[in-house]
Amino acid sequence: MPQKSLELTARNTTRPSLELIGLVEKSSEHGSEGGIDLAELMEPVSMRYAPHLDRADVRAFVDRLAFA
Amino acid sequence: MTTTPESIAEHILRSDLEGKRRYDSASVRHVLPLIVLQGGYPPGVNPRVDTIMRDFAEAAGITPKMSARAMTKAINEYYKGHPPNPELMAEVSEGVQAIVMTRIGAESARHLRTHAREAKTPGPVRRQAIPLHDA
Repeated sequence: MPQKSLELTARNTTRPSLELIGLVEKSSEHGSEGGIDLAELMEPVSMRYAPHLDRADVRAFVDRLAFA
Repeated sequence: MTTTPESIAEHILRSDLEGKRRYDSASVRHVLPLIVLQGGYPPGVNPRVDTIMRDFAEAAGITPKMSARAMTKAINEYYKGHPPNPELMAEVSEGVQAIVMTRIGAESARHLRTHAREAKTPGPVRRQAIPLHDA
């Protein structure tokens, strides 16, 4: 197996992707059983208006910041 | 000038008067998971964002099978031990608020336009002749 494929395999098995982690999915279930309770996030890191964001806006905002 | 998520991000990423970046990349990346987690992210993750989230999950000790409550606890503990830059955090929070307000404003304006179109168009004002004397 080529070296690159080995690296990719190792990366995927040791560091699960965002979807596998389920972080976004769980956070989107806010208010329902099993979701991350954002209200339990500490004050310095909680953003009052974030739950009201449109997801397309989150993508545009985050994607631009990610290239900082 | 139109306020967009991109323009707000550019504003946060602007340099100071001496041309020096106000926040380094690591500081900005450190707060990104908070936006993603609290704001949600649509399907089809940007590879760079995916990497940032993977790194975050690894650093915070978050695993796929962890319960939501355990995840929340891990997130709090991670940021307690690695607090974000308070000025950057404040700017990001204000930026998020500005994005929400812009969206609400645009939707309200659209709603008003739709409502105005659907409302009955008033016809011409009919003038009623007022008799000047008794019939």
